[in-house]
Amino acid sequence: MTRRLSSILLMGLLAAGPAGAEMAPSLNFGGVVGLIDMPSGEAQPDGRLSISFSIMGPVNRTTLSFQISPRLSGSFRYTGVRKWNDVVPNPFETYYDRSFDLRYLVLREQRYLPSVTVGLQDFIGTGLSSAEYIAATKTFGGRVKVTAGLGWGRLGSYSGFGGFGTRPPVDIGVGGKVNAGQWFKGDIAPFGGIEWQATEKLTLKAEYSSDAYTLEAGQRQTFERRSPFNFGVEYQVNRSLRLGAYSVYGSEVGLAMHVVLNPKRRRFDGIAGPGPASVKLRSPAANGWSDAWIRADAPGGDPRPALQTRLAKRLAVDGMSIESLSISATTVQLRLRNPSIDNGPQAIGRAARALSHVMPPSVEVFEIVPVVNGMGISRVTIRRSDIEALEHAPGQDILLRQRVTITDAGPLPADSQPNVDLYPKLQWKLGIAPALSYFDPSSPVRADLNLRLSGQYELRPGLIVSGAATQKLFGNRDQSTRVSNSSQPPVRSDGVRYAQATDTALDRLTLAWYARPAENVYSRVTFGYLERMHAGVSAEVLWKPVDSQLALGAEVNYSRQRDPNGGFGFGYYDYGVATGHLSAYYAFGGGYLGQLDVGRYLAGDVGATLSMDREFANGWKVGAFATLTSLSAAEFGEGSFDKGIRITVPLNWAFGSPNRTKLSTTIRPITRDGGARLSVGGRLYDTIRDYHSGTLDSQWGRVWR
Amino acid sequence: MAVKQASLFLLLLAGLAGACGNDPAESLGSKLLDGVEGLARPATQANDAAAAGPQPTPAAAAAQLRVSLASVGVPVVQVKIATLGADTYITPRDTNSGTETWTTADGSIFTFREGVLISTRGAVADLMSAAAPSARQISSASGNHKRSYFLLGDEDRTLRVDMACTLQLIGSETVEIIGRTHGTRHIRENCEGAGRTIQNEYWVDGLVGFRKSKQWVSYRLGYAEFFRVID
Repeated sequence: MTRRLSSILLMGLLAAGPAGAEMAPSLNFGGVVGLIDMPSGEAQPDGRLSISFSIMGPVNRTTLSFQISPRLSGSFRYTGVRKWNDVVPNPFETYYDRSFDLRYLVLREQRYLPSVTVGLQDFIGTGLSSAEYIAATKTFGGRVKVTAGLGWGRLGSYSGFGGFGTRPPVDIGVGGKVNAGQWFKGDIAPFGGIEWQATEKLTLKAEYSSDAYTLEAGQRQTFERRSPFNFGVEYQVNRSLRLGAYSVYGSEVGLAMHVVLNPKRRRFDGIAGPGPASVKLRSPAANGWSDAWIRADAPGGDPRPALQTRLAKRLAVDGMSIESLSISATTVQLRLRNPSIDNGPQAIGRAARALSHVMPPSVEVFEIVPVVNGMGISRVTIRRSDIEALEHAPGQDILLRQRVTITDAGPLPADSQPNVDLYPKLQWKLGIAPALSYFDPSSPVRADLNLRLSGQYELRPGLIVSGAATQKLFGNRDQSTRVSNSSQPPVRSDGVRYAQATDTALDRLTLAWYARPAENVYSRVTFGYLERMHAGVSAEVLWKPVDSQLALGAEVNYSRQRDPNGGFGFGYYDYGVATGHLSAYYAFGGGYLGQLDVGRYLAGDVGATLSMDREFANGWKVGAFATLTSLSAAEFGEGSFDKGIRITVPLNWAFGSPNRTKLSTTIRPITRDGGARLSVGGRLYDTIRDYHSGTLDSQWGRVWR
Repeated sequence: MAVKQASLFLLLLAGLAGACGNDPAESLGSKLLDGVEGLARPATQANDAAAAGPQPTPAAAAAQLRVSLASVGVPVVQVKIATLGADTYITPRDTNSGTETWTTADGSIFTFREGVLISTRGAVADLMSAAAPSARQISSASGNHKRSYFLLGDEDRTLRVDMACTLQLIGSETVEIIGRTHGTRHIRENCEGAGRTIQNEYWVDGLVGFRKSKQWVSYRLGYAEFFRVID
């Protein structure tokens, strides 16, 4: 019943099909496109997400890379070096470090020109692995690739020659600084190598490395670097999985495993599940399409309750239901709840077909208003004649989109009949949920497995009580000794204390009220135990026209920090704070979303958060954020400022089945107290965007699915 | 260490979904890939019936299968899709302006215009719509025409595949479908476009139109074969 993301990824691997025939870019130890330990000049195809694990003697690396755009890619890497204290005393046997890379494909390979990439390695963080490079790669005959490059910093450390000036020393401080002053300074060293695709699945690689491993092999003597030459063989198991084994630096063995995922493509391209009902055609009746059926003197009385019952049955086939229904002689407005179908247009298309079966012939205009948390999100107006005519027309989706209008939902029609069966409505779920904490130097990932009971009770449209409680089953998060050393109120950094204090906790218990106070305006007020660490009240208002790329929002909160014991009290910290933000959201097109939040954070610091995400039509989302506030780097502590990456994976991608469940995670190199926001559920922007025209248009290919 | 780190990194991407409850978003999750499995399932009740009892001769088994398929009382077409391992039956569901929509027992849909496939639903890598030649054009076994396939491509965007096609008469062939033979004319449609060639094949039986056909669906699915068993 329960499915882990790891098993989803595994299914993705099994279903990934055979490897491509062409010589695709491959990854190096550091999880970026390259040879063995060196980078190359190519880029991954747009949108690819990869997870790489590698071991090279005492050095192991785990890297998450994302091809942000066709030319730009970013990586986050977690490196561990064992034997760190063998010769130089240190409390840790293994040294861990986090780093970020950025690469830009300057030139795409052409007939006579190689592909050329400029890269920044470890450009933010401690900078201990920092390097810059320019690499060029050319393919010959479809089976051989040759790479040559120049490196600075770490990649200029072996057999270098003089470059531009001297490289300033790394200023570690508390980490997290962008070391722009170092870039392309100091010695330059050449590197290069060759890849030969021996068979469809097997590739041989050889390289000359310009990385002297000065720190690891020199000062710390964690391994012996006898030679600059590395050799290896890689096996492409399927489209997603690649394994490699290597002989490196004349002394060590290396192993690598790369999982490359394509968020753009679902398991089988399309989506599973039964086909839709057909559009029911109206018979060209001799008396025209009379409206006699709805006149006050209609025989048999008001026909609307019976129509509503029949429509509800048809919608239930697809897991959808009626919020309310308003029927006139020519127009029907269906307020639709869709908890099941991942794709808005598919839900709307199916609802339109259901209406064609139920509505009397004189009803020509179908207005479908998707409703989320009681709020009408948009009004999709479809002419019945159009769906009748286009059901089997070539290119039917584009033709229909040209004839459909998407506007603000507008007020609830005066004569609308609510679905009395829908409220009050209780939903609950008992499941297993992990809780994770990352990057503790003594254990990179700690995890608890919890039993989690969650539920929500909808009192009436827009008024929702919801809550969740967890019982720890087992885990090791409480064994961390990493207590907060923050100079700020410990609004986030006391996670260990929270984990240690109790095995049974109330995660949240809130009353939320959602409403549409005006055209293009949405509002939310949430009150109660908002999250595990804070409780209070949060109020938000959002302005977003249906077809606007821009949205503006404001949020104000007052919260008190909850006791670590997971109960209802506030005595332990006795800390209350008013926070709030003004937010601007912009959809740049192509799935790129930007967000700027300016305001006051939980520790009382004032500043701004900039976020960039790339969202794919199926719901995959990969993004990064950074927050700068009035806290200085020293006041903030390790990392200097708050930043992280976040990933959302929709189950429909992994399984190819239509459902709306998504799994999300946020990875911060370190969690401190500066730049921390309340983690309140149901923020408006993400709540409404699924049914605004940007998202509907990007998903429109499935309106006839 | 690395293995531990690897599994933890997968967990790191995780969060567990599901478990039990009355949340509809979840209960649908348990119906994962029902459509695919349904289509891929070779079983029909008719098959099961035929398989019961002492092993009959192939001819007797075919006759028995045919009887049970005929007992449904509607036309029946057998569908085979090699890439899905699918071998199942479809029956007519409804018609709309010259199109016929047929369905499997579990709700996967194939829509034809006079036997020419124009869309599928629930075959996963679906053909969303198509501009295709008429059955009369194909039966003429001569001339050129254009074809457009509209597939569900990356990120649920419609992918249009345009092809230029020619028709070719292969000759008269006798086709056997579940124990019965039919005299047909075998016609091949050669199409080229979007960097690939496909071949649709039709076996025309004057009584019913296409007695048998092999028609391209999508890149991922390849071809579907249709056998008209019960008229």
